[in-house]
Amino acid sequence: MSSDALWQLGPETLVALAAVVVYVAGAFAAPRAAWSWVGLAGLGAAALCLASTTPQAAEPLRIDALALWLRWFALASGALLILTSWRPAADADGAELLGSLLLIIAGMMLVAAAGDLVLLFLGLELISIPTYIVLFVGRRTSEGREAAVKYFYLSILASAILLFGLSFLYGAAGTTSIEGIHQRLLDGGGSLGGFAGLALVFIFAGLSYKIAAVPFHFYAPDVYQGTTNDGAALLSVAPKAAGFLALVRLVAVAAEGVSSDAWRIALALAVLTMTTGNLLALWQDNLRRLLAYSSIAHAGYMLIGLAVYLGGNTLAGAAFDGVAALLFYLLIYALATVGTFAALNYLGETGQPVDHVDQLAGLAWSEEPRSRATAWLIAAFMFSLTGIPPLAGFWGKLALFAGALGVRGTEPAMRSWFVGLAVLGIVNAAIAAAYYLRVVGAMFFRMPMGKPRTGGSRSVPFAAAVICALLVVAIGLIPTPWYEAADRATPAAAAREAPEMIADAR
Amino acid sequence: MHGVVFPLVLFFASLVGLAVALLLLGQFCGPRRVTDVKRMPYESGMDPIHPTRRRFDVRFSLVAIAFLIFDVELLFLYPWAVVFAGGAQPELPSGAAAAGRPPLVFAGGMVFLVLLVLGFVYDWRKGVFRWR
Amino acid sequence: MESWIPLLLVLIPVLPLAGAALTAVLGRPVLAGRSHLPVVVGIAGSFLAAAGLVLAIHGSLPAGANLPGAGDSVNAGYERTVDLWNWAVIGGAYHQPAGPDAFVMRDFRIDVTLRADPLSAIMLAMVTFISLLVAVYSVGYMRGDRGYWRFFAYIGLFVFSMTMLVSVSNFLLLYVFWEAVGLCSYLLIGFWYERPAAAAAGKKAFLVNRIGDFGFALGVFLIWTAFGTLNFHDTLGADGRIVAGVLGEARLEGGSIGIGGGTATWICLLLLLGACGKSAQFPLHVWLPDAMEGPTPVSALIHAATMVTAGVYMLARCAPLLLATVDGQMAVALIGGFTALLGGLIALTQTDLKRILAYSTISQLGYMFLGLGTGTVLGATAGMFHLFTHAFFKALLFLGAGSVMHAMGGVVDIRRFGGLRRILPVTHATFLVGCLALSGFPLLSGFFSKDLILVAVHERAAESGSTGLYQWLYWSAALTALLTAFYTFRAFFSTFYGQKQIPHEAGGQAHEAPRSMLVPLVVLAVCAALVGGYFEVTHGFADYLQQTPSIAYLARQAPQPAATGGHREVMLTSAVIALAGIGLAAALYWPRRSAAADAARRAGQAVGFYQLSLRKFFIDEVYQVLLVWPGLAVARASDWIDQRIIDRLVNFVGRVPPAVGAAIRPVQNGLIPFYAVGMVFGLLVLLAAVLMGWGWLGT
Repeated sequence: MSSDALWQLGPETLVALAAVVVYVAGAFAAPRAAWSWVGLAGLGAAALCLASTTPQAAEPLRIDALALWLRWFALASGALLILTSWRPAADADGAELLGSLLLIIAGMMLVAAAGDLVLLFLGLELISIPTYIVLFVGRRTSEGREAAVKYFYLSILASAILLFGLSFLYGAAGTTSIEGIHQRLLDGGGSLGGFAGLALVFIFAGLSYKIAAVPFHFYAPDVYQGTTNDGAALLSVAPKAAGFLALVRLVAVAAEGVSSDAWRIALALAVLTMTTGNLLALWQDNLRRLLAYSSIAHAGYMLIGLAVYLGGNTLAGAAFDGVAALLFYLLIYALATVGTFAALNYLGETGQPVDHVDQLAGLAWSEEPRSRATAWLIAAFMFSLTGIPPLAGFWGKLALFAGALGVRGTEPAMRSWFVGLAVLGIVNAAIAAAYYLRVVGAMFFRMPMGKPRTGGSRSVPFAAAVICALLVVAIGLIPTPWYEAADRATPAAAAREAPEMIADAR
Repeated sequence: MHGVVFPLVLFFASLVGLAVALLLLGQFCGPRRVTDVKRMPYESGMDPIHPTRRRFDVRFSLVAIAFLIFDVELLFLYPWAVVFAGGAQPELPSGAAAAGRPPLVFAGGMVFLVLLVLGFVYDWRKGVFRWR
Repeated sequence: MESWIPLLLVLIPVLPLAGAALTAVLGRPVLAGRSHLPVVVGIAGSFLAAAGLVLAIHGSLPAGANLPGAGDSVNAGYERTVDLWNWAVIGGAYHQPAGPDAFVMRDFRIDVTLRADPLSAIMLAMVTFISLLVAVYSVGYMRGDRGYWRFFAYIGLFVFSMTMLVSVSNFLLLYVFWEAVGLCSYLLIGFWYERPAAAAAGKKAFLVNRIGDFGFALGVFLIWTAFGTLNFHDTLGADGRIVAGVLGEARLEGGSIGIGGGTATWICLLLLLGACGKSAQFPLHVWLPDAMEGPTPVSALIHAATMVTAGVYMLARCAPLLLATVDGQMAVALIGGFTALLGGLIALTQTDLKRILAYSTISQLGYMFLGLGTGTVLGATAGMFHLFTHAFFKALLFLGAGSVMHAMGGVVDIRRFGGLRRILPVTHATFLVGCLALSGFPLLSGFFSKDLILVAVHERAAESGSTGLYQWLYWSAALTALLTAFYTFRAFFSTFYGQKQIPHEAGGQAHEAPRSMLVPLVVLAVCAALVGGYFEVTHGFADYLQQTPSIAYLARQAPQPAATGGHREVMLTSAVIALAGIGLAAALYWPRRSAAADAARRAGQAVGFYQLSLRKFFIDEVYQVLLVWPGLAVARASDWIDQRIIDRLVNFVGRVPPAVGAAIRPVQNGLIPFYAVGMVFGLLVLLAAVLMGWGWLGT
């Protein structure tokens, strides 16, 4: 690693530094709020550093527009997650939770910047390992421990599968540089395609765990249910974003020569994932379990974008790029999901989180103004996740489905597969409305059960929810710049800017 | 594509074959002398006749983890020392680039050690080393 | 001055919205009895901005370009658009063959663009002015109501939606705010949702409007297919070329809007259906009388002066589309003329003061449709002018009725009170002005505007004598004017003259309303008396309005002959008609319920007319017979099929997702080894697919 690369990794280093400070200092004192400020300061410094650093090529990094987009996304979502898990009181494990969160953010950024298999894997593990701690320390009940253990074992299995896939790539190309592997596969022609195909499957399988795609999703419902709202918010954003970025990076490379398999795998996973997620969500009464299935379903929608990207060869003049739609949707999904968890965090009391749909009953008619407002916030998030027009979620789904409709295809019947995919996506969105609207219905049309909930002093999570809601509305009203930002980050955009790299960007 | 099927089948076949063969070897070649001690679930260690949820001291795991960390530290320092001494730089271009390298390599090692010390401090503050 | 236009355009909707938001957030916990403050202040600011906008546009108009005969070709009208942001772009959404191997590709592009032109400016000024007065009035009227803050939050939201409706420059956004005002109307009709009648009326309004909105939506779709854009104004396409908006200069200056025949007729009819729903025209008028269950200020604001005129506004805006099809024009004129007559006939015998006014509103809206249906620039101007004056005197009448109700403890039946002129002197005086204006009493505002519509119909009839339709419509409109004068003064005399009679609900302390209610009454009375005359004398309204691109287009396409002598003749006729109607009502109802009135009613009963009118021409019953009963019969017939087959099928479909979910639920059994096996199994299936080809998976 050159010193250039070290400078380029400045933001990641700053975030990790903040994590170390929080860990060690947290062993001496326990004021949770103060550590949250340190964390925010670390993220702010990283943002400044990121804004002031000129991106340049530096092995083993790959700082392109896509990397920058995800690094900004990581910083922003990290700040929101810190606000979501804000606690005013001293808290024995506060420093550990916050430090782990910071390390996870650094991991996301590292995945974004990695141009080398080893670094990429390192970044993914930097997300996974602190997640175990968050899951275990966050909620010290038997459920919490069960969640942590489940996540731990299955995550190890997934990492092993991913590593196995990466080793095939390395074996085929003799280098760990992603760019180098790509060149080697291009030069090698069909002879290495077999290994690339194997690598493709293992990489898909390993990363599907991170994004919670069926059939690698099993952990999600149990783990979300067992952990805290903070933990669930973290799980629904960080591994997913990193997993999708790694998929975009690796699959396109590994798919060189076996492209007919790549889009098929993505398409099959998308169909399975969104359908299973939505069908099982219909049965859930536990909010976090419901949102776990929701996050599975949304992973399915995002896989549509990946399939469109891998299918390539879109109709002339088609409006939506697959990766752009994926990133745009990821942003919208993350805002609504984190916002929901922040709102639930606001409503819960220490040690008594809001778990159940029934606990939200009649929230909209609560005595306390901020609880009433929270009902409206949650309703906005649910409507956005459903995809109701004036809100952001509608545009996200539109971009994904319209993108699928724009695929012309290189093989016979390919176009009809993608049309079918879009139709199935729309059917799924209709099914999903049933459970999202159930939550809204509980808040607005049911009598409160038990004593009315009041959030008390947790105004920071409330503020986080408000920020998320404002963004959801703003993106709904002005979607174009946000979509264009995502569009500029795609490999296709990179190819437009540097024509000689067309082959690389597919 | 189909070129890899055969090696792959061979690979998995030998994998399964090895596992099955080892089991069968043990089954057929091993002498079997059944004694009371051997019939216990745990041949060595504790007597399993007690409530299953018996707790054991968490320090076993903590010490194990602390040991692992310092073990890995030792492992990392060997290649680092070799690189620092300039003994092996197979992938590095010789000449100009190498000139700026030793300070960077040194700093990297130091950062690593400092992080370990911080981990040690953390362990210490958290009472990992507090016996009784 | 022109540089202010963007700021003003934005301020007009934003201020009421901000007021509404503030009231919604702070209303219950903080403001309580002062919840009106943010909204009233917001609407006042909005009104000032609207007034400024009118002046700013006035200052920017080309001078003297519109005088009849003076170089008509140069007047393309004035419009100014302000792009706020781009809401949506879908590239290449419009894909239409344009000859062999040639395609027109266009983006689906929705810009949130506000427009300033004379038509919008007039509507904005009128809406904000009436809203301001009604809001001030409501401070007194709604005082002490449990939902005080809720009421003002809704009002603010309504003013926002209505001002947006008239200032957006795109059919889709027009539709959005069309629905938004409908939502506000629904919320406010059902404001006292504890009353079953109010809840039912809200539901009825909602459902009947859906029919109209369905037509409107289809019309918008058809416009998209026909034009490839939904913007009113011209925009710059992605390729740097101008995309001609539906009502933009590029299209209108070409002299033809580029469609004709069946498409044009269908677009007009579908838009007309939408307008009929919102503006309560036959056969979709049935919701408006029931909507009187809402608070009276709401009836005045939404169901008399502003929201119900949205249909008229929309047709005026789309006048060039209307001009493309004679069938469409005749449909509009016919619906309007018929509804005007029908409303007048029904109003004759109603006994509920607010319902009389509601049918009167339906009737007057019919007049406006009739004016627009002539397809001439005079007709369009007359329709808009009547919309403008009607807003003042009808709001005045409703607020007066509210004042009566306020004093009478909520009673609205004109048979149960009488002789109130001494108790409610201010209400009496202002109500009289409103009645005179509505009846078309000479020199009051209603006289001039109604007269102008009659003139327009008369001229159109003279021009196209062959069809004869417009001639019939003219006579029908004249008859309606007579009816209007009669029923208006029937209500007036019954309420304020004759023997003093006060219902027991008033609690023996009937009194004049508080000042916050009287001030708006007086202001409106002054306006109702004077605006018509002012604009008639100065000709300011017509000159101003005709600078709207859509209406200027009418002027260019069908140059007006110089005003003929017919004008004076018509004016005289309508004056006589109004006086006759008033005189007849006075003879019958002053003194109250005279023998003559009884005789008239008996005569009416003898020919069955009285019943017919009282029961609103049995239109609700006709609906019952034509729609509900056959519906029921068909429903019963299909009930069997429904129960046995379709219902089960639907239930089955509805149950499939949960059932499939339940079927795969056991997979989620919580065991780590099982999960791991599941993952590995998935991996193996993928591996097999890649290695052996996808054929065996059906791909």
